[in-house]
Amino acid sequence: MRKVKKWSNYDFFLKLDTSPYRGKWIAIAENKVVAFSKQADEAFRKARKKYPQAKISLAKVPQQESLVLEIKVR
Amino acid sequence: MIIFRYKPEKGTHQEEIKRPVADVWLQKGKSWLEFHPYIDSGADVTLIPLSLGELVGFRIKGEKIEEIGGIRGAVPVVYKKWKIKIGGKILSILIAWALIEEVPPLLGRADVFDFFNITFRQKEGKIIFEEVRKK
Repeated sequence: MRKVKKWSNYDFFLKLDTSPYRGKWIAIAENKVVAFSKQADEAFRKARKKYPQAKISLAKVPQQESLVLEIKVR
Repeated sequence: MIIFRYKPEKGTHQEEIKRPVADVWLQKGKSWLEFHPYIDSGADVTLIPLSLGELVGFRIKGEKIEEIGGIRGAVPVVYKKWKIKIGGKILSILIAWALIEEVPPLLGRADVFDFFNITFRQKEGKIIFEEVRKK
């Protein structure tokens, strides 16, 4: 049987390509993005409904332009 | 000692940019809500967007609405003193609750950088939080 490495939500987030979720909140649980929304409360609620017992964390994936001092490559 | 790490992200032109990210918990009633803000030594104060504040129980109770400035202009905020957990340490910190959604969550300096000595080791991909020893 193939073993699946279990990451913490933080570890998973660090490795996740978040570019598909720009401008949205993502809810992470059990090594995956379990919900996303423009609102943190909605993402959390959806995640909690799907995974009532899981440890859920939230992260916001900012729009590129909302990050100040981003390096502009010419 | 608490060690956080950098997250590689794609910039506007698909180039890789590494940004420092923390793992922190905000008090939410009798429990805690885990989230992952950017660590921003240039931010005077921790900043959270509107919906995250609402989720953990922030309400406007007669506080003055103030404006904080960023490069992209003014953001209306309400200041809250709130409990946050960083690596098992519970701190009461000042948080600027943005009354708009379009801001990134930032772990800023107020209270946090007084409680921890924070070292950015970008080359190693680490951010080290060491508790300040009380004299």
